[in-house]
Amino acid sequence: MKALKCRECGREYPLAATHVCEFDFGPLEVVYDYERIKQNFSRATVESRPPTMWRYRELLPVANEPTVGFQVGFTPLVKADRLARRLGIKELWIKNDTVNYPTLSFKDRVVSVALSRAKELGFTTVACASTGNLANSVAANAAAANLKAYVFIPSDLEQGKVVNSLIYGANVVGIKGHYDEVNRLCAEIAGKYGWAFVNVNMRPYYAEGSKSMGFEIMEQSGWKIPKHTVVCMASGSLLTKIHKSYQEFSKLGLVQEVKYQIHGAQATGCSPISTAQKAGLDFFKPVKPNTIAKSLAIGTPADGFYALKVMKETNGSCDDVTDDEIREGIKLLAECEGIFAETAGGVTVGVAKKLIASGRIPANDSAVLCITGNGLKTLDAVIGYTGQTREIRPSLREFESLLESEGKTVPA
Amino acid sequence: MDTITVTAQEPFRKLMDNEQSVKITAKTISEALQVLCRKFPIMAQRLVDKQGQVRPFINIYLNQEEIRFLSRETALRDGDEISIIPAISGG
Repeated sequence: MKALKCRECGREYPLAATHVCEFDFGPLEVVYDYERIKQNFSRATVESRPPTMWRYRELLPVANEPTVGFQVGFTPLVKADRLARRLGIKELWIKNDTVNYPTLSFKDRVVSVALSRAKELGFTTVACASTGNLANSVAANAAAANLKAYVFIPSDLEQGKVVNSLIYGANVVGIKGHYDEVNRLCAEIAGKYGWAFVNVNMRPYYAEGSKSMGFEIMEQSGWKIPKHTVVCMASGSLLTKIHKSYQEFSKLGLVQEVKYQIHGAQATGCSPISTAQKAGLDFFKPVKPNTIAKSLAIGTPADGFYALKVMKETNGSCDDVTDDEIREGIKLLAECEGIFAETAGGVTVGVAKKLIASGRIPANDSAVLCITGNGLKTLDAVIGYTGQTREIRPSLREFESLLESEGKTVPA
Repeated sequence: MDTITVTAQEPFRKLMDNEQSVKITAKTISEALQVLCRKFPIMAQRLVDKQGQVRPFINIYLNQEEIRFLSRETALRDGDEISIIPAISGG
Protein backbone atom coordinates (compact mmCIF):
# COMPACT_ATOMS: atom_id res chain seq x y z
CA MET A 1 0.00 0.00 0.00
CA LYS A 2 1.24 3.43 -0.86
CA ALA A 3 -1.58 5.85 -0.03
CA LEU A 4 -5.27 6.60 -0.30
CA LYS A 5 -6.11 8.58 -3.40
CA CYS A 6 -9.24 10.47 -4.48
CA ARG A 7 -10.77 8.83 -7.54
CA GLU A 8 -11.90 12.22 -8.75
CA CYS A 9 -9.11 14.74 -8.19
CA GLY A 10 -6.19 12.41 -7.43
CA ARG A 11 -5.24 14.04 -4.11
CA GLU A 12 -3.43 11.61 -1.84
CA TYR A 13 -4.15 10.91 1.83
CA PRO A 14 -2.44 8.90 4.58
CA LEU A 15 -3.51 5.29 5.05
CA ALA A 16 -6.01 6.04 7.85
CA ALA A 17 -9.69 5.17 8.48
CA THR A 18 -11.13 7.70 6.08
CA HIS A 19 -13.10 7.35 2.89
CA VAL A 20 -13.93 10.70 1.32
CA CYS A 21 -11.77 13.40 -0.25
CA GLU A 22 -11.92 16.61 1.76
CA PHE A 23 -11.91 18.72 -1.39
CA ASP A 24 -14.45 17.26 -3.77
CA PHE A 25 -15.90 14.43 -1.61
CA GLY A 26 -14.91 11.85 -4.18
CA PRO A 27 -14.33 8.32 -2.86
CA LEU A 28 -10.82 7.37 -1.77
CA GLU A 29 -9.11 4.31 -3.17
CA VAL A 30 -5.98 2.43 -2.12
CA VAL A 31 -3.01 2.85 -4.46
CA TYR A 32 0.00 0.56 -4.57
CA ASP A 33 3.62 0.79 -5.59
CA TYR A 34 3.39 -1.58 -8.54
CA GLU A 35 7.05 -1.25 -9.51
CA ARG A 36 8.03 -2.48 -6.07
CA ILE A 37 5.42 -5.25 -6.01
CA LYS A 38 6.59 -6.44 -9.44
CA GLN A 39 10.05 -7.25 -8.08
CA ASN A 40 8.86 -10.08 -5.80
CA PHE A 41 5.42 -11.05 -7.02
CA SER A 42 5.20 -13.74 -9.68
CA ARG A 43 2.96 -16.63 -10.68
CA ALA A 44 5.37 -18.96 -8.87
CA THR A 45 5.15 -16.89 -5.66
CA VAL A 46 1.36 -17.03 -5.74
CA GLU A 47 1.26 -20.75 -6.56
CA SER A 48 3.58 -21.57 -3.65
CA ARG A 49 1.13 -20.14 -1.13
CA PRO A 50 -1.94 -21.70 0.54
CA PRO A 51 -5.15 -21.66 -1.55
CA THR A 52 -6.84 -18.63 0.01
CA MET A 53 -7.41 -15.06 -1.14
CA TRP A 54 -4.33 -14.03 0.82
CA ARG A 55 -2.05 -15.62 -1.77
CA TYR A 56 -2.39 -12.21 -3.50
CA ARG A 57 -1.67 -10.24 -0.31
CA GLU A 58 0.74 -7.78 -1.96
CA LEU A 59 -2.31 -6.45 -3.83
CA LEU A 60 -4.55 -6.34 -0.77
CA PRO A 61 -4.51 -3.34 1.61
CA VAL A 62 -2.95 -4.65 4.81
CA ALA A 63 0.39 -3.44 6.12
CA ASN A 64 1.35 -6.73 7.79
CA GLU A 65 0.25 -10.36 7.74
CA PRO A 66 -3.58 -10.60 7.79
CA THR A 67 -5.09 -11.27 11.21
CA VAL A 68 -8.71 -11.96 10.22
CA GLY A 69 -10.06 -14.57 7.79
CA PHE A 70 -6.93 -16.54 6.89
CA GLN A 71 -8.98 -19.21 5.13
CA VAL A 72 -11.23 -17.01 3.02
CA GLY A 73 -11.45 -17.34 -0.74
CA PHE A 74 -10.04 -19.58 -3.46
CA THR A 75 -13.52 -20.85 -4.14
CA PRO A 76 -14.07 -23.21 -7.09
CA LEU A 77 -14.22 -22.02 -10.69
CA VAL A 78 -16.60 -24.61 -12.10
CA LYS A 79 -16.89 -25.49 -15.79
CA ALA A 80 -20.63 -25.35 -16.34
CA ASP A 81 -21.24 -27.42 -19.47
CA ARG A 82 -24.89 -28.23 -18.80
CA LEU A 83 -25.78 -24.61 -18.07
CA ALA A 84 -23.76 -23.53 -21.11
CA ARG A 85 -25.94 -25.76 -23.30
CA ARG A 86 -29.12 -24.39 -21.73
CA LEU A 87 -28.01 -20.79 -22.21
CA GLY A 88 -26.68 -21.44 -25.70
CA ILE A 89 -23.02 -20.55 -25.25
CA LYS A 90 -19.88 -22.50 -26.19
CA GLU A 91 -18.14 -22.29 -22.81
CA LEU A 92 -19.35 -21.16 -19.40
CA TRP A 93 -17.69 -21.00 -16.00
CA ILE A 94 -19.16 -20.36 -12.57
CA LYS A 95 -17.04 -18.59 -9.96
CA ASN A 96 -18.72 -20.20 -7.01
CA ASP A 97 -18.67 -17.95 -3.95
CA THR A 98 -21.74 -19.73 -2.57
CA VAL A 99 -19.14 -21.81 -0.74
CA ASN A 100 -16.89 -19.00 0.42
CA TYR A 101 -15.61 -19.40 3.96
CA PRO A 102 -16.99 -18.82 6.59
CA THR A 103 -20.40 -17.25 5.77
CA LEU A 104 -21.07 -18.47 2.22
CA SER A 105 -20.85 -15.22 0.30
CA PHE A 106 -18.20 -13.09 -1.41
CA LYS A 107 -18.54 -10.63 1.47
CA ASP A 108 -16.07 -12.72 3.49
CA ARG A 109 -13.42 -11.42 1.09
CA VAL A 110 -14.08 -7.76 1.80
CA VAL A 111 -14.65 -8.29 5.50
CA SER A 112 -11.43 -10.18 6.15
CA VAL A 113 -9.55 -7.27 4.57
CA ALA A 114 -11.56 -4.59 6.39
CA LEU A 115 -11.22 -6.25 9.79
CA SER A 116 -7.53 -7.06 9.36
CA ARG A 117 -6.93 -3.42 8.52
CA ALA A 118 -9.23 -2.25 11.37
CA LYS A 119 -7.10 -4.22 13.82
CA GLU A 120 -3.95 -2.70 12.38
CA LEU A 121 -5.46 0.74 12.94
CA GLY A 122 -6.30 -0.12 16.56
CA PHE A 123 -10.10 -0.50 16.41
CA THR A 124 -11.87 -2.85 18.83
CA THR A 125 -15.45 -2.34 17.59
CA VAL A 126 -16.51 -2.94 13.99
CA ALA A 127 -19.81 -2.18 12.32
CA CYS A 128 -21.61 -2.17 8.99
CA ALA A 129 -24.75 -1.21 7.14
CA SER A 130 -25.89 -4.29 5.30
CA THR A 131 -28.44 -5.94 3.07
CA GLY A 132 -27.63 -9.18 4.90
CA ASN A 133 -24.55 -10.93 3.57
CA LEU A 134 -22.17 -8.29 4.84
CA ALA A 135 -23.86 -8.41 8.24
CA ASN A 136 -23.35 -12.19 8.38
CA SER A 137 -19.72 -11.86 7.48
CA VAL A 138 -18.94 -9.01 9.86
CA ALA A 139 -20.70 -10.87 12.68
CA ALA A 140 -18.82 -14.12 12.07
CA ASN A 141 -15.38 -12.74 11.36
CA ALA A 142 -15.62 -10.27 14.28
CA ALA A 143 -16.52 -13.14 16.62
CA ALA A 144 -13.49 -15.15 15.49
CA ALA A 145 -11.23 -12.10 15.76
CA ASN A 146 -12.53 -11.09 19.21
CA LEU A 147 -13.91 -7.78 17.96
CA LYS A 148 -17.19 -6.26 19.11
CA ALA A 149 -19.69 -5.98 16.24
CA TYR A 150 -22.71 -3.82 15.49
CA VAL A 151 -24.61 -4.60 12.31
CA PHE A 152 -27.45 -2.51 10.92
CA ILE A 153 -29.91 -4.13 8.50
CA PRO A 154 -33.31 -3.36 6.99
CA SER A 155 -35.85 -4.93 9.37
CA ASP A 156 -37.63 -6.81 6.53
CA LEU A 157 -34.61 -8.98 5.62
CA GLU A 158 -34.90 -12.70 4.99
CA GLN A 159 -35.05 -14.59 8.30
CA GLY A 160 -32.05 -16.70 7.27
CA LYS A 161 -29.83 -13.65 7.01
CA VAL A 162 -31.01 -12.27 10.36
CA VAL A 163 -30.36 -15.52 12.23
CA ASN A 164 -27.02 -15.84 10.47
CA SER A 165 -25.91 -12.60 12.10
CA LEU A 166 -27.46 -13.12 15.54
CA ILE A 167 -25.91 -16.54 16.05
CA TYR A 168 -22.41 -15.07 16.31
CA GLY A 169 -23.41 -12.79 19.18
CA ALA A 170 -23.27 -9.57 17.18
CA ASN A 171 -25.46 -6.61 18.09
CA VAL A 172 -28.01 -6.69 15.27
CA VAL A 173 -30.15 -3.60 14.81
CA GLY A 174 -33.08 -3.83 12.38
CA ILE A 175 -34.00 -0.49 10.85
CA LYS A 176 -37.54 0.13 9.67
CA GLY A 177 -36.62 1.23 6.18
CA HIS A 178 -34.78 0.08 3.06
CA TYR A 179 -31.01 -0.23 2.73
CA ASP A 180 -30.48 3.35 1.61
CA GLU A 181 -32.13 4.52 4.80
CA VAL A 182 -30.00 2.13 6.86
CA ASN A 183 -27.00 3.59 5.08
CA ARG A 184 -28.03 7.09 5.91
CA LEU A 185 -28.38 6.30 9.60
CA CYS A 186 -25.01 4.53 9.56
CA ALA A 187 -23.33 7.58 8.05
CA GLU A 188 -24.62 9.52 11.03
CA ILE A 189 -23.63 6.83 13.55
CA ALA A 190 -20.20 6.52 11.95
CA GLY A 191 -19.73 10.26 12.30
CA LYS A 192 -20.50 10.10 15.99
CA TYR A 193 -18.94 6.85 17.21
CA GLY A 194 -15.31 5.92 16.77
CA TRP A 195 -15.95 2.51 15.22
CA ALA A 196 -14.51 0.85 12.17
CA PHE A 197 -17.53 0.92 9.87
CA VAL A 198 -16.46 -1.50 7.18
CA ASN A 199 -18.44 0.18 4.41
CA VAL A 200 -18.06 3.75 5.64
CA ASN A 201 -14.70 4.83 7.05
CA MET A 202 -13.02 1.49 6.17
CA ARG A 203 -14.50 1.41 2.69
CA PRO A 204 -11.28 2.03 0.72
CA TYR A 205 -9.75 -1.10 2.30
CA TYR A 206 -12.96 -3.14 2.39
CA ALA A 207 -13.73 -2.67 -1.29
CA GLU A 208 -10.26 -3.88 -2.33
CA GLY A 209 -11.05 -7.34 -0.95
CA SER A 210 -13.36 -7.90 -3.92
CA LYS A 211 -10.36 -7.89 -6.25
CA SER A 212 -9.42 -11.33 -4.92
CA MET A 213 -12.40 -12.80 -6.78
CA GLY A 214 -10.94 -11.48 -10.03
CA PHE A 215 -7.40 -12.63 -9.18
CA GLU A 216 -8.70 -16.13 -8.54
CA ILE A 217 -10.74 -16.19 -11.76
CA MET A 218 -7.59 -15.35 -13.76
CA GLU A 219 -5.34 -17.85 -11.97
CA GLN A 220 -7.96 -20.61 -12.14
CA SER A 221 -8.49 -19.89 -15.85
CA GLY A 222 -4.80 -20.70 -16.41
CA TRP A 223 -3.54 -17.13 -15.85
CA LYS A 224 -5.88 -15.61 -18.39
CA ILE A 225 -8.43 -12.83 -18.36
CA PRO A 226 -11.83 -14.20 -19.38
CA LYS A 227 -13.34 -12.73 -22.53
CA HIS A 228 -16.65 -12.06 -20.76
CA THR A 229 -17.40 -11.67 -17.05
CA VAL A 230 -20.95 -11.18 -15.76
CA VAL A 231 -21.22 -9.54 -12.35
CA CYS A 232 -24.30 -8.66 -10.31
CA MET A 233 -24.50 -5.12 -9.03
CA ALA A 234 -25.83 -3.58 -5.85
CA SER A 235 -23.56 -0.59 -5.21
CA GLY A 236 -21.53 -1.61 -8.28
CA SER A 237 -18.34 -1.98 -6.25
CA LEU A 238 -17.65 -5.66 -7.07
CA LEU A 239 -17.82 -5.00 -10.81
CA THR A 240 -15.33 -2.13 -10.60
CA LYS A 241 -12.96 -4.21 -8.47
CA ILE A 242 -13.04 -7.21 -10.81
CA HIS A 243 -12.00 -4.74 -13.51
CA LYS A 244 -9.23 -3.37 -11.29
CA SER A 245 -7.98 -6.91 -10.61
CA TYR A 246 -7.73 -7.64 -14.35
CA GLN A 247 -5.85 -4.40 -14.88
CA GLU A 248 -3.46 -5.05 -12.00
CA PHE A 249 -2.50 -8.54 -13.18
CA SER A 250 -1.97 -7.15 -16.69
CA LYS A 251 0.17 -4.33 -15.33
CA LEU A 252 2.29 -6.79 -13.33
CA GLY A 253 2.72 -9.05 -16.36
CA LEU A 254 0.99 -12.00 -14.68
CA VAL A 255 -1.52 -12.27 -17.50
CA GLN A 256 -1.44 -11.25 -21.12
CA GLU A 257 -3.09 -7.93 -21.80
CA VAL A 258 -6.18 -8.70 -23.84
CA LYS A 259 -9.52 -7.13 -24.62
CA TYR A 260 -12.27 -8.22 -22.28
CA GLN A 261 -15.84 -7.24 -21.53
CA ILE A 262 -17.39 -6.84 -18.10
CA HIS A 263 -21.18 -7.03 -18.02
CA GLY A 264 -23.45 -5.87 -15.21
CA ALA A 265 -26.59 -7.55 -13.86
CA GLN A 266 -29.37 -6.04 -11.79
CA ALA A 267 -32.87 -6.89 -10.63
CA THR A 268 -35.54 -4.96 -12.53
CA GLY A 269 -37.02 -3.92 -9.18
CA CYS A 270 -33.81 -2.09 -8.36
CA SER A 271 -32.03 -1.26 -11.58
CA PRO A 272 -30.66 2.29 -11.47
CA ILE A 273 -27.33 1.28 -13.07
CA SER A 274 -28.87 -0.98 -15.71
CA THR A 275 -31.45 1.66 -16.65
CA ALA A 276 -28.72 4.29 -17.07
CA GLN A 277 -26.47 1.94 -19.07
CA LYS A 278 -29.24 0.95 -21.44
CA ALA A 279 -30.10 4.62 -21.97
CA GLY A 280 -26.45 5.41 -22.69
CA LEU A 281 -26.13 7.70 -19.67
CA ASP A 282 -23.07 8.26 -17.49
CA PHE A 283 -25.17 8.99 -14.41
CA PHE A 284 -27.97 7.04 -12.80
CA LYS A 285 -31.18 8.19 -11.20
CA PRO A 286 -31.72 6.77 -7.70
CA VAL A 287 -34.68 4.42 -7.25
CA LYS A 288 -36.71 2.93 -4.41
CA PRO A 289 -36.02 -0.82 -4.43
CA ASN A 290 -38.76 -3.40 -4.78
CA THR A 291 -37.28 -6.81 -5.58
CA ILE A 292 -36.80 -10.26 -4.07
CA ALA A 293 -33.05 -9.77 -4.65
CA LYS A 294 -32.65 -7.97 -1.35
CA SER A 295 -28.88 -8.31 -1.36
CA LEU A 296 -28.88 -6.11 -4.49
CA ALA A 297 -31.53 -3.68 -3.25
CA ILE A 298 -29.48 -0.49 -3.18
CA GLY A 299 -31.35 2.33 -4.85
CA THR A 300 -28.53 4.85 -4.54
CA PRO A 301 -25.49 2.85 -5.64
CA ALA A 302 -22.33 4.58 -4.44
CA ASP A 303 -20.17 3.04 -7.18
CA GLY A 304 -22.83 3.23 -9.87
CA PHE A 305 -21.01 5.98 -11.68
CA TYR A 306 -17.78 3.96 -11.81
CA ALA A 307 -19.57 0.73 -12.75
CA LEU A 308 -21.08 2.54 -15.75
CA LYS A 309 -17.62 3.77 -16.65
CA VAL A 310 -16.12 0.26 -16.52
CA MET A 311 -18.86 -1.18 -18.72
CA LYS A 312 -18.35 1.64 -21.20
CA GLU A 313 -14.55 1.24 -21.23
CA THR A 314 -14.69 -2.52 -21.69
CA ASN A 315 -17.59 -2.37 -24.16
CA GLY A 316 -19.64 -4.41 -21.70
CA SER A 317 -23.41 -4.66 -21.56
CA CYS A 318 -25.95 -4.52 -18.80
CA ASP A 319 -29.45 -5.78 -18.23
CA ASP A 320 -31.95 -6.57 -15.52
CA VAL A 321 -34.39 -9.37 -14.73
CA THR A 322 -37.78 -9.64 -13.03
CA ASP A 323 -38.47 -11.57 -9.82
CA ASP A 324 -39.78 -14.53 -11.85
CA GLU A 325 -36.67 -14.51 -14.04
CA ILE A 326 -34.52 -14.40 -10.89
CA ARG A 327 -36.22 -17.53 -9.53
CA GLU A 328 -35.83 -19.19 -12.94
CA GLY A 329 -32.12 -18.31 -12.87
CA ILE A 330 -31.70 -19.83 -9.42
CA LYS A 331 -33.43 -23.03 -10.57
CA LEU A 332 -31.44 -23.24 -13.81
CA LEU A 333 -28.14 -23.03 -11.94
CA ALA A 334 -29.28 -25.54 -9.35
CA GLU A 335 -30.71 -28.05 -11.85
CA CYS A 336 -27.82 -27.81 -14.31
CA GLU A 337 -24.82 -27.48 -12.03
CA GLY A 338 -25.91 -28.47 -8.52
CA ILE A 339 -25.18 -25.00 -7.21
CA PHE A 340 -27.82 -23.33 -5.06
CA ALA A 341 -27.32 -19.57 -5.27
CA GLU A 342 -29.18 -16.82 -3.49
CA THR A 343 -31.30 -14.32 -5.38
CA ALA A 344 -28.29 -12.32 -6.58
CA GLY A 345 -27.03 -15.48 -8.33
CA GLY A 346 -30.43 -15.78 -10.02
CA VAL A 347 -29.96 -12.23 -11.26
CA THR A 348 -26.54 -13.05 -12.74
CA VAL A 349 -27.75 -16.22 -14.48
CA GLY A 350 -30.94 -14.51 -15.70
CA VAL A 351 -29.06 -11.57 -17.15
CA ALA A 352 -26.40 -13.83 -18.70
CA LYS A 353 -29.22 -15.71 -20.43
CA LYS A 354 -30.54 -12.43 -21.86
CA LEU A 355 -27.10 -11.23 -22.94
CA ILE A 356 -26.35 -14.51 -24.72
CA ALA A 357 -29.80 -14.71 -26.34
CA SER A 358 -29.44 -11.17 -27.69
CA GLY A 359 -25.89 -11.76 -28.95
CA ARG A 360 -24.35 -9.20 -26.61
CA ILE A 361 -22.30 -12.16 -25.40
CA PRO A 362 -21.64 -14.11 -28.63
CA ALA A 363 -22.64 -17.78 -28.57
CA ASN A 364 -19.18 -18.95 -29.69
CA ASP A 365 -17.38 -17.19 -26.82
CA SER A 366 -16.52 -18.09 -23.24
CA ALA A 367 -17.96 -16.36 -20.16
CA VAL A 368 -17.53 -16.40 -16.39
CA LEU A 369 -20.52 -15.79 -14.13
CA CYS A 370 -19.73 -14.43 -10.66
CA ILE A 371 -22.09 -16.15 -8.23
CA THR A 372 -21.81 -14.28 -4.97
CA GLY A 373 -23.95 -15.91 -2.29
CA ASN A 374 -25.62 -19.10 -1.07
CA GLY A 375 -29.27 -19.98 -1.64
CA LEU A 376 -29.72 -21.40 1.86
CA LYS A 377 -29.83 -17.79 3.07
CA THR A 378 -32.75 -16.75 0.88
CA LEU A 379 -35.07 -19.77 1.07
CA ASP A 380 -38.02 -17.38 1.45
CA ALA A 381 -37.51 -16.27 -2.15
CA VAL A 382 -38.01 -19.74 -3.65
CA ILE A 383 -40.37 -21.47 -1.21
CA GLY A 384 -43.49 -22.36 -3.18
CA TYR A 385 -41.65 -22.27 -6.51
CA THR A 386 -39.66 -25.49 -6.29
CA GLY A 387 -42.27 -28.21 -6.76
CA GLN A 388 -43.69 -30.28 -3.92
CA THR A 389 -42.75 -33.44 -2.09
CA ARG A 390 -45.19 -36.31 -2.67
CA GLU A 391 -46.09 -38.18 0.48
CA ILE A 392 -46.80 -41.91 0.60
CA ARG A 393 -46.92 -44.54 3.29
CA PRO A 394 -43.78 -46.73 3.67
CA SER A 395 -45.02 -49.19 1.06
CA LEU A 396 -43.31 -50.33 -2.14
CA ARG A 397 -46.72 -50.72 -3.78
CA GLU A 398 -47.61 -47.11 -3.04
CA PHE A 399 -44.28 -45.96 -4.43
CA GLU A 400 -44.86 -47.90 -7.64
CA SER A 401 -48.39 -46.48 -7.89
CA LEU A 402 -46.89 -43.03 -7.53
CA LEU A 403 -44.43 -43.64 -10.37
CA GLU A 404 -47.19 -45.07 -12.49
CA SER A 405 -49.51 -42.13 -11.80
CA GLU A 406 -46.77 -39.80 -12.95
CA GLY A 407 -46.28 -41.79 -16.12
CA LYS A 408 -42.77 -42.93 -15.21
CA THR A 409 -41.50 -46.40 -16.07
CA VAL A 410 -41.26 -48.71 -13.06
CA PRO A 411 -37.67 -49.97 -12.90
CA ALA A 412 -37.08 -53.68 -13.16
CA MET B 1 -40.44 32.36 7.09
CA ASP B 2 -39.98 28.76 8.23
CA THR B 3 -36.95 27.68 10.21
CA ILE B 4 -35.08 24.68 8.83
CA THR B 5 -32.28 22.83 10.59
CA VAL B 6 -29.41 21.75 8.38
CA THR B 7 -27.08 19.05 9.74
CA ALA B 8 -23.91 17.79 8.14
CA GLN B 9 -21.86 14.65 8.74
CA GLU B 10 -18.11 14.60 8.42
CA PRO B 11 -16.44 15.54 6.13
CA PHE B 12 -19.10 18.07 5.16
CA ARG B 13 -18.98 20.01 8.41
CA LYS B 14 -16.05 22.04 7.19
CA LEU B 15 -18.44 23.42 4.59
CA MET B 16 -20.46 24.90 7.46
CA ASP B 17 -17.58 26.49 9.42
CA ASN B 18 -17.23 23.19 11.35
CA GLU B 19 -20.74 23.46 12.76
CA GLN B 20 -22.68 20.22 13.12
CA SER B 21 -25.94 22.02 12.42
CA VAL B 22 -27.17 25.46 11.43
CA LYS B 23 -30.60 27.02 11.22
CA ILE B 24 -31.77 28.74 8.06
CA THR B 25 -35.03 30.09 6.75
CA ALA B 26 -36.30 29.03 3.34
CA LYS B 27 -39.58 28.19 1.64
CA THR B 28 -38.44 25.49 -0.79
CA ILE B 29 -35.58 23.02 -1.26
CA SER B 30 -34.22 25.17 -4.05
CA GLU B 31 -34.22 28.26 -1.84
CA ALA B 32 -32.62 26.32 1.03
CA LEU B 33 -29.71 25.31 -1.25
CA GLN B 34 -29.33 28.91 -2.43
CA VAL B 35 -29.37 30.20 1.17
CA LEU B 36 -26.73 27.66 2.17
CA CYS B 37 -24.51 28.53 -0.78
CA ARG B 38 -24.78 32.24 0.06
CA LYS B 39 -24.12 31.67 3.76
CA PHE B 40 -21.20 29.32 3.07
CA PRO B 41 -19.75 30.24 -0.36
CA ILE B 42 -17.54 27.13 -0.32
CA MET B 43 -20.71 25.04 -0.65
CA ALA B 44 -21.44 26.62 -4.01
CA GLN B 45 -18.16 25.18 -5.26
CA ARG B 46 -18.19 21.80 -3.57
CA LEU B 47 -21.75 20.71 -2.85
CA VAL B 48 -23.26 21.34 -6.27
CA ASP B 49 -21.88 21.34 -9.79
CA LYS B 50 -22.05 24.17 -12.32
CA GLN B 51 -25.60 23.19 -13.28
CA GLY B 52 -26.70 23.40 -9.65
CA GLN B 53 -27.02 19.60 -9.36
CA VAL B 54 -25.88 17.91 -6.16
CA ARG B 55 -22.55 16.21 -6.82
CA PRO B 56 -22.77 12.44 -7.33
CA PHE B 57 -21.05 11.36 -4.13
CA ILE B 58 -23.22 13.49 -1.87
CA ASN B 59 -26.73 12.71 -0.68
CA ILE B 60 -28.98 15.42 0.72
CA TYR B 61 -32.11 14.46 2.63
CA LEU B 62 -35.20 16.47 3.49
CA ASN B 63 -36.31 14.70 6.65
CA GLN B 64 -36.31 11.01 5.52
CA GLU B 65 -36.40 11.65 1.76
CA GLU B 66 -33.43 12.05 -0.57
CA ILE B 67 -33.94 15.30 -2.47
CA ARG B 68 -33.15 13.66 -5.82
CA PHE B 69 -36.62 12.07 -5.46
CA LEU B 70 -38.27 15.42 -4.79
CA SER B 71 -39.01 18.52 -6.81
CA ARG B 72 -36.69 21.39 -6.03
CA GLU B 73 -39.85 23.44 -5.46
CA THR B 74 -41.03 21.17 -2.66
CA ALA B 75 -42.33 23.41 0.11
CA LEU B 76 -40.49 23.38 3.43
CA ARG B 77 -42.27 23.51 6.75
CA ASP B 78 -41.21 24.93 10.05
CA GLY B 79 -39.07 22.35 11.86
CA ASP B 80 -38.01 20.42 8.72
CA GLU B 81 -34.52 18.94 8.75
CA ILE B 82 -32.06 18.82 5.90
CA SER B 83 -29.07 16.46 6.26
CA ILE B 84 -25.95 16.27 4.11
CA ILE B 85 -24.46 12.78 4.02
CA PRO B 86 -21.73 11.06 1.97
CA ALA B 87 -22.76 8.23 -0.36
CA ILE B 88 -21.87 4.83 1.07
CA SER B 89 -20.89 1.58 -0.63
CA GLY B 90 -22.99 -1.54 -0.12
CA GLY B 91 -24.25 -4.00 1.15
